[in-house]
Amino acid sequence: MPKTNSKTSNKKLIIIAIATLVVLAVFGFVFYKVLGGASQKIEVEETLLLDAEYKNTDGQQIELAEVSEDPVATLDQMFEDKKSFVLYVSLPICNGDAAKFKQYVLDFQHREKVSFYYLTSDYIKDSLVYETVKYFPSVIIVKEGKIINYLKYDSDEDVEFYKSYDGFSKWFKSNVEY
Amino acid sequence: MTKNSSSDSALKVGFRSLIAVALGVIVMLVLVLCITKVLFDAEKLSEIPAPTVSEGMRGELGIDKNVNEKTIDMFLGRSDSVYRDMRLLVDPANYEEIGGDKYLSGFVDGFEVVPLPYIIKPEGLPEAVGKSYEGKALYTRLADGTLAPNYIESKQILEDLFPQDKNIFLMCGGGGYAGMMKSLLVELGWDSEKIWNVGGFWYYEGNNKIDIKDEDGNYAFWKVNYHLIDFDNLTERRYAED
Repeated sequence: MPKTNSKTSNKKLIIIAIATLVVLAVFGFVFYKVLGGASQKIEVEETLLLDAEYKNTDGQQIELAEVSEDPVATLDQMFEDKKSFVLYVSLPICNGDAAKFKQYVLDFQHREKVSFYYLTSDYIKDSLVYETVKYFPSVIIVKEGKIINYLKYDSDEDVEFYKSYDGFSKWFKSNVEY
Repeated sequence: MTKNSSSDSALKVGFRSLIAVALGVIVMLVLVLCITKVLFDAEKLSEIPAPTVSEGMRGELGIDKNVNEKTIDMFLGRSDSVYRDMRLLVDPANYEEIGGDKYLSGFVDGFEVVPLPYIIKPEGLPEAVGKSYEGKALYTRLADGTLAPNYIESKQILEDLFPQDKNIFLMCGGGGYAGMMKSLLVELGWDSEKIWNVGGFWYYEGNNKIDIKDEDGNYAFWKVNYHLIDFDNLTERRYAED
């Protein structure tokens, strides 16, 4: 009789253990999806390690038109000098989510203490950038004088990155290490 | 001799008649050809691709995938179409703050300016630019989301400026105001298949660009075909009496 009792209680223990493991697995999966999904990185071909001069800054963007009398020539020279940097080009959009995009980009630099170069759409058509990027606003990642990625204003895939701070942050952090 | 001369003159008369008839036929033929050519040319207007929204954020504004800044030159100057630019000549909003220009700096030839803020107050402007024109407008969006005409003539003015029997091509600076105008017209009963949001003047690289801003930064607004809506001469609607 005591043997049978111990067998029964062993079975119970096994069942409880299995049930606990199943519950833990389910919870683990849910947590992974909810928490892990938010920080999930987008697959990119190449990333940029941000130069020290653009990290731990005051979070202000560097306006090319203010630091240079000829911002287009300065920008093109940066490409020719094979520099690595991030460029934000604005275009005035009068409504919708695209209109709020500039604020996301400004907030991101401020919060993450990083700095991008900034140029308005007035200049961009004369620059080397326009050979690759045709639609703005956009954030362009340049590594050693080569555009390795940019936000595509005319692509369904990039819509979520334009529409919220978190969306932009997710895209940027997948492309740039700092 | 007499017989011969009379038959000669009969021949001459017959020959002249023949020439007259031939000339008449030729004139008739030329006329028929001219009329056919005129009719044929009128029907030769190319087919416009049905409105299809672009991909990405451009699509969010309703900019057309096929009829847009890159292709509009192919569809200019059509007798079956009207062309409207929805920008203000001078926008009170501070567009410089987001890298823009509050002045209408240029337009595509053939487009006539009908500022959207005179039709309805634009919604969703970025905070940074502050307020746009907030004066009188033909329509008001009520709190419950419905559209209310502010004047007895509101609908008629839209009918005149955006005739429903024509194709309507809309443009602005970046595509936003044009998108809002298309939405408004469709809401009021216009056929969405006859309205194209061509997009923003900034992206235009065709051969029909007319610059308003010169090298010295002056603006030549007299070049613009501008539709004035004179609100003082309109009859305000009083909803309490309706």
